[in-house]
Amino acid sequence: MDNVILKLDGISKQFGNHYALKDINVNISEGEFHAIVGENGAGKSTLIKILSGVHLPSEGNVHFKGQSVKFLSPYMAQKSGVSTLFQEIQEIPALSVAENIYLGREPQKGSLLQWKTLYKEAGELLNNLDIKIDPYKKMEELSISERKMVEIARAVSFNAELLIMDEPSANLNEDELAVLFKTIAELRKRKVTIIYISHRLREIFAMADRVTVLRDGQHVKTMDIKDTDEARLVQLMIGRELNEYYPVNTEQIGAKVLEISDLNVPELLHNVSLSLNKREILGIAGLAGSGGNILTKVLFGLVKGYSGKMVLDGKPFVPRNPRQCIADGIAFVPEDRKTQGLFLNLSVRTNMSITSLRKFRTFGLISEPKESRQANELVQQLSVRPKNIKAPIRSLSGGNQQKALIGRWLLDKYKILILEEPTRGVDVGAKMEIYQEINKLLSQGLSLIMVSSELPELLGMCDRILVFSGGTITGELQRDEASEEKIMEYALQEVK
Amino acid sequence: MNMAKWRSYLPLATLILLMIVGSLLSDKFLTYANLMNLLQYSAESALIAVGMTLVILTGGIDLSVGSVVALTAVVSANTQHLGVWGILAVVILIGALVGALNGVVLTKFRVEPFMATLATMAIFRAVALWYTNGGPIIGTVTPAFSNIANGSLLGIPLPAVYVVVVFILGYFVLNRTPFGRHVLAVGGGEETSRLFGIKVERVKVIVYIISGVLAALAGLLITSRIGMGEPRSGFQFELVAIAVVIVGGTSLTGGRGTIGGSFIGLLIFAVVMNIMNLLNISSFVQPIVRGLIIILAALAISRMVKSKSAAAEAS
Repeated sequence: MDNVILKLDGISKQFGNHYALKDINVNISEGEFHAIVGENGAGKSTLIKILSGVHLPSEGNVHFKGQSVKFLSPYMAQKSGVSTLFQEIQEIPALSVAENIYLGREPQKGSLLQWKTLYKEAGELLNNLDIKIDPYKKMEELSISERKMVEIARAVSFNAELLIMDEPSANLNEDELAVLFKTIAELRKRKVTIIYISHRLREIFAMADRVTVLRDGQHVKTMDIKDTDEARLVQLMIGRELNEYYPVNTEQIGAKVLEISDLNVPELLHNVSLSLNKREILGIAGLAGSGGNILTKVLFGLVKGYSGKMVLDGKPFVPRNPRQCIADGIAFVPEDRKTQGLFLNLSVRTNMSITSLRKFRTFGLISEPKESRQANELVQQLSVRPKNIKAPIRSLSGGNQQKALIGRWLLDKYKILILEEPTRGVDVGAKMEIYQEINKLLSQGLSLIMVSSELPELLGMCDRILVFSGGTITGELQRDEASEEKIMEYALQEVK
Repeated sequence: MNMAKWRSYLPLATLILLMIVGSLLSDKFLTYANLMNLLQYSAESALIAVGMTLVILTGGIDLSVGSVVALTAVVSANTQHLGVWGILAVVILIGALVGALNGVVLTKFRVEPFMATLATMAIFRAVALWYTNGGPIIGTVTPAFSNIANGSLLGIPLPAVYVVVVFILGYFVLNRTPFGRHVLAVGGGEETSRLFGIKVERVKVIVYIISGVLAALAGLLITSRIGMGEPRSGFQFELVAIAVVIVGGTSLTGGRGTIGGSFIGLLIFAVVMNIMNLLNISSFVQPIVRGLIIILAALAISRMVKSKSAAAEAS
């Protein structure tokens, strides 16, 4: 092995009693492209946060360039030569590209800012990297990929020797990906070491030298990329056979519940037609902004100004607002649990009963015993932990919050349950439980629409998958013919 | 030119329109004497508005400025024996101290700026009233001190000069110093700024110190102008200043806005008040008009935000 630039020596991170990372040992050599893969909750982001100076490890040491280092802040890490591109773009939107690159290190004479030097240096830097962006433009005027490029330029301006990239390719279309890969190639020419996290295995196989697999906070394996293949990597990531992980829908799929024809929302959805059957799980795939979550918002009465015909259970269905949609039999678990789904400061019980309060009325007042009895039953049924309906829901883990949110819609009879990103930010164990629960809902006669950006989840759970791109359906895949490649192919299809 | 850009010229267009209306309604409006009057009576608001702009740009708010005015108004009336420069030093010191107090309370103890300065607003006002036992301090002001507000330079009333000077200084700090960039950065994203190595707490404390010092100078100016130390002066100045900043197009959430915008905002209010004075409209009606202007500005801003986010979603 050549020069080791980064050595992780028994890194562990504990949050309370829970180990997010346990005893990670990896050596990364200078100039290497090292990929890190793992399911959500495998510990990738915790590892990144340790390397970038957001967290300190609970145990173990990080050695950078032969020295033990303790990065107390991302800025300190950056000054030492370790830059990180987090998933969230770090930027001040209202300031210009040049200002963002040199923020905190502006060229100055005395206490005065040297505007000319600032823009000249930024222009030269971008030029050197062959990035075609006007340094005078404001960040908010740029596309996502351009903003990523600016972040990379910023890292380079710090003379980064190690660049950590967390899902840099998420949300990029094919053209933007090409620009990103070109810049990465330029960085490699400069012998920058890269740690690359991505769900897209194809790009890892195209670029990486070695790959490290994490699962449940444990270091599974580090190997040369040429010694493995996609199927083996996936198996290492999941740690189980795929069919153990995802329960199979054994329910008999019934008659048509929902039929949508020619649904249009100006600029957002174009001629969407689909149908949903009883006891079916219909998956919705597509990149961010492709329109899948606009469809679900229409169905829950959150979008005005749509046109098209919808039939729910044989009756015309015209969503106007969530209240009416709930009454008509639509249940909705939204994408952003914290801001759209939960009342964080209220109890588990209140969070569950909030949409079905009329069931607990006695003389117009809410009967607490009734409410508590039902909530307790649900907490048992869904194994929400802790089993305390009075606990504020903010104190629960993400997985248990999600279970409670699903439970909200089990207090009453609904026809369709819409699940957006049902396992986002949920650890692997809780994920499996949620999948089991989702499957059980089918036996109660519900039909499910599941929007997810995690392809394995869609492939594992859904009977049928619709792929969106540019606001319209570009492909429909049955369970037995669906694969990540086919979904991506449809998802990246250009729609004029 | 897109809609959002066009709207950023709205404050200036409004001001020009108001000037035209003013000159049509009264032939006294567009005279040198009247315009100088208009400017010189805006001096206190100008000082406070520049500080408030910086504070609001960091995403904060400073409600204590009106009470700081009262505090230094009475202190400067009571320290006349120190001479003009001595008084100035004392007043600046007080302003810096109260500003630092605000800044430390809201950074070290992580109190919301609204709450922190609401508390100090009550405290500083009470201290001013307690200091004078509620009454004004009369008959102490020396001619030299009186000259600060009532003198003139080359025929221009001194307070009008202060208005121009403070806005130029404010513009300079915001646009020509790294500190000014950091003010915008902190308001645009606190966590990101921290990640970029900006000392967020320090930027905030400095901004409140600037606001405190400028408010303190406004208090001195009032005492010089009216010739006595009145503990009730500066009442609701914070509201006026916030209104000026908002009408000038600065976002209350921070990170977006300009000193030039606040200058236009100040002139919009000054012109409206001036026109109403010329038309002999009751001074009790004037705050109602001020309120209406704020509502109109808020409407224009919310439209701006909407069209911007719609544009972002479509792209």
